[in-house]
Amino acid sequence: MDYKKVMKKFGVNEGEFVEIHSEGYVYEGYILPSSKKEFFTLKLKSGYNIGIAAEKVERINKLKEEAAIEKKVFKEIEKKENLPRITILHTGGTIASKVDYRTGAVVCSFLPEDLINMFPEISEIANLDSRLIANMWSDDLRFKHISMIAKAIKEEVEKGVDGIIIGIGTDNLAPAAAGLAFALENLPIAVILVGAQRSSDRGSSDAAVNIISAANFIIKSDFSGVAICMHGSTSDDFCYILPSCKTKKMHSSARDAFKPINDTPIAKVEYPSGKIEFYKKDYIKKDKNRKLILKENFEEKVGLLKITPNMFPEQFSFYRKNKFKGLVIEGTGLGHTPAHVPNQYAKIHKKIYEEIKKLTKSGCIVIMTTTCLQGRVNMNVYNKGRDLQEAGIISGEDMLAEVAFMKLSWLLGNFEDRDKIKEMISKNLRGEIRERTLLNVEKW
Amino acid sequence: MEENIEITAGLEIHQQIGSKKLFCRCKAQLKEDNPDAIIRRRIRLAASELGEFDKAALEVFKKKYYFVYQYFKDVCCLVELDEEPPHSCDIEALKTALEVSLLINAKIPDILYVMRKTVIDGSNVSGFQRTMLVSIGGNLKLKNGKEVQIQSLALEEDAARLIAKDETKKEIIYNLDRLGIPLIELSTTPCLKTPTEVKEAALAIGELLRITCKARRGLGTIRQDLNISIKGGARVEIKGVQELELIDEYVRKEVLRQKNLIEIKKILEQRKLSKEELDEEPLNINELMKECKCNFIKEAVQNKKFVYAKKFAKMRDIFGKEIQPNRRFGTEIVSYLKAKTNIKGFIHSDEDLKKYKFEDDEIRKIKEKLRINEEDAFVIIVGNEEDCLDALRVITERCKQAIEGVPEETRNALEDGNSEYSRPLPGAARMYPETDIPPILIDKELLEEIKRNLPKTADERFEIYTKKYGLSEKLANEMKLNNYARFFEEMVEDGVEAKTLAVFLLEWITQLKRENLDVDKIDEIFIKDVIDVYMKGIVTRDNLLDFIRYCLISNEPVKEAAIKFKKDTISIKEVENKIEEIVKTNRELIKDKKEYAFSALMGDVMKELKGKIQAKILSEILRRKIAEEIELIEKS
Repeated sequence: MDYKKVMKKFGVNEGEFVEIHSEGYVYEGYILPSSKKEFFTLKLKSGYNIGIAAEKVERINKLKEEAAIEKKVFKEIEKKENLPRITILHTGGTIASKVDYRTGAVVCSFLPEDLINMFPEISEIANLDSRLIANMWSDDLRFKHISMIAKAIKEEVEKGVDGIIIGIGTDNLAPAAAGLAFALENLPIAVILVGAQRSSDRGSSDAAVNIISAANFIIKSDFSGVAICMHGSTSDDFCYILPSCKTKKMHSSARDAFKPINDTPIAKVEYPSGKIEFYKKDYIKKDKNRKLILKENFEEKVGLLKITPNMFPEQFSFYRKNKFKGLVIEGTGLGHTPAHVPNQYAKIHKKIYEEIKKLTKSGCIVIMTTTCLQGRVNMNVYNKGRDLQEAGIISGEDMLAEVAFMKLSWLLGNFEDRDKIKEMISKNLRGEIRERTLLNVEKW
Repeated sequence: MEENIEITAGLEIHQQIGSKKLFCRCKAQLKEDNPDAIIRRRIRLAASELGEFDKAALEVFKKKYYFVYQYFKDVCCLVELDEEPPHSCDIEALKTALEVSLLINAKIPDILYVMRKTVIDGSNVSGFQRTMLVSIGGNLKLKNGKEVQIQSLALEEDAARLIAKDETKKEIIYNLDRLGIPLIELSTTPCLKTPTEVKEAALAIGELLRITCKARRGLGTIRQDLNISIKGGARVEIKGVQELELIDEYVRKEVLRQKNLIEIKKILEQRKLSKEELDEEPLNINELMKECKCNFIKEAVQNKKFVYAKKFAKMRDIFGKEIQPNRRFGTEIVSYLKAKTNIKGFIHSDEDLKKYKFEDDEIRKIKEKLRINEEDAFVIIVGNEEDCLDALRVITERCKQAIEGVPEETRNALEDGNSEYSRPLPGAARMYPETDIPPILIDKELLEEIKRNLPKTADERFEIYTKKYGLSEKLANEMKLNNYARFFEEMVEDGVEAKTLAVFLLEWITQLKRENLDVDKIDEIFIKDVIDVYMKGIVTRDNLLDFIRYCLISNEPVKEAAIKFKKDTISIKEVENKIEEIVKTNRELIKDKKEYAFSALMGDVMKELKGKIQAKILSEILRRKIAEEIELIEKS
């Protein structure tokens, strides 16, 4: 039985304070919206929620409502004249999420007043502006969103702000950072992407340390460009400023999930002191007179295919048949796919290789990256690699697959000349390719 | 006399249960060695349901501590570190909570919701404690026939263990081993009327939880909080009473405290003290104290710290009034300062100021400056300016409360039955749903199954154990509240000899533990296997303890150990005799080298017995024989 029908029967509504009679027992509490329709969800005075089967409800009486809970009104923030200006652009995600303590629903909060309320330290270092440009989890990210964020950044840059923080869900934070890095050429100021692995409603949230560290980095350093600011360790001691095109989320839940791959962090920002230590010296310095060039187009029809054992030709022909303009392959090892027929079980691989050739011939640009994450693609070492090169596959060097994917869509979206696009794939544009592969010493 | 005072008291018992943590699969075990990692975190204030900050939390938070967590990989995972969402609820713990609910005839809702209870003292890494209401209502009969009404039963996570507080580094250190161990929180209604009744209720609830055989044992596994008020007083929560036996003492001393606070209120009423009269401005008296011989004042003046004094009109003899044995109103105020400010103490005019080496003239000058009259008191605070003023505000606030009587608050139990202020009473709006765990639908069949297998009461057990099973009263008394009781019953009903099993469970395990053998290996399967071997006659009663020892040492599955043991048993006696012979002939050596004679003698033993029996067992017997010999030598 639907609890809503039972509510109707007894003339009560969600949010009302009631007593529910069920199986000889009387529960007192507020009716909350219920996710299971056969059950009432009741918030008891003790604060606990319980569920009561709708079919067992014998009677509901509306009780005198408790005094309405008064929302605290936050005082308007005073802008301090001599402080730099930072704009926070919100796109949703855990970083902006709060729990409605009554219903348990996750809601987003974007008012600068709310942010100052949550992270009061920021008001000491900057005047904050806040804009909501989307309200979504980053899993739903599409190229159009990145274009939209890039345009919003341009507007803010033109207003003369000193830096921009972008709050975004962590799942696609790294690809978004790469996308923005490509879309924003000649960026005069720092644009820092920040996420949270723990939502702001809990005391232990990493959101504050990440946002405050990002603000500190924007104000106290001369860095310009797109970067990521996230926890450097599981402790609340420091954040890393990570390169936009060399970073991957390497843990599904931990605070220090974001790691530079085939690269070092740009800098470290200590918390709470805000002290900055740079690991990279070759970044482009902030210059508010520099003119931002926006190249915000992305080709929609680009794919990413991960190589696994036991693949089928259909997994490759899919891209040709559906007229994809670009494909990034995340190949095994140095950059390989199944393509040879060593014995009877692998006969099908001949067709795979043919499909790859057909794909490139159809005009689709194909880039090879590696599932290993660490290290560089080199298709010269084994025959297989050479065959793939012959089929027209271009080496993605030491690029992360997702970054190569963003880069390829961006190249296809903004440039016409195919030869030029192919040339640019293997050329470093935004720090996505490093010529030298260094020993991974984890000590920067 | 005390039984005549009208009191209203309720209990909140927290009992650890089960062997696994509630929301991850780590084992419930405390660690004392060096942590595998240290993690430092901050907790930030979360806006509470009211959009305001929780007062209780705010007081601690104001101090801006870093929380330092000791992580042990054996007993903690990413869930404790708040680096991973919780796993599903431990079904054994939930079953136990449901079982207790059924035992007290409480009402179990159709769906349980796991909630987050905001905790920002750092004891929960996440900033909240996960808790779920398992049942409402119910009752429990005391021995004298009185019915104790139960308010609710919740299943929740235990908090991390406080290790140290470093004021200079502003660090609070916690051990994460305890975090997440399941706790049953059972609260009575405020239906208890005398200290003795409170104690009896506490004992009865303790017993109720123990008959489930899932209650954890040992120091700190059960904690009780006390809610208490007297007529004209106020509701006070005393937290962390560890000794069940002392609980009536806490009630008595709290009654005394509230009575004395009411008396203070009456005195202040007679003196017609108004709150406004306490708003006197604090005065800086550094100038007056330049020549002061009092050590800490001298030091403060030299170090450019501040000495502040403030008049407390009509408060003479109040600061010095004893409100609990050896606890004055002044001492009480110090606990407020500790909880709320950076100041740890103060001087007041009810004290013998000469003991601080104040000169008469200085006292006179202070009094003059503050315009102290006959009925007035004054307070002196030393520290930096902000802290001094902060402390004086807190003292003033507390004195204003004294005009009204007893303030509602949470207090910490002290060892002697007294208590001290810890924080305001927690507000009600501290809970919101744990969105990471789906609501738990209570399965009817599961409930029926638990209902069919409810544990027997301790008294019922005693009856059965003595009359039906033929245990001695001593063994029956020990067994009835032992965590093996239900297993014991099950085995005996299956035909196992009660006495042998009881001795195994109650005496032998302890003995083997004393011999430093790894008794953690003894679980129900082990016991069943051993008993099986015994019941089949493979091992005799006389040999049974030796056989268990043999199993533990040889580390082989019981059934395989039995075959070897059987082969060895004839020789084991021989072996024991042989080793004893070697030990006796080397008495002098043992006398000289004590335990260190072992390696020398092991050579002899191996020469004689090598290949006849496992070396491990030989060394174990030798070790035991040497120990026995040392004991003999020491006795003589």
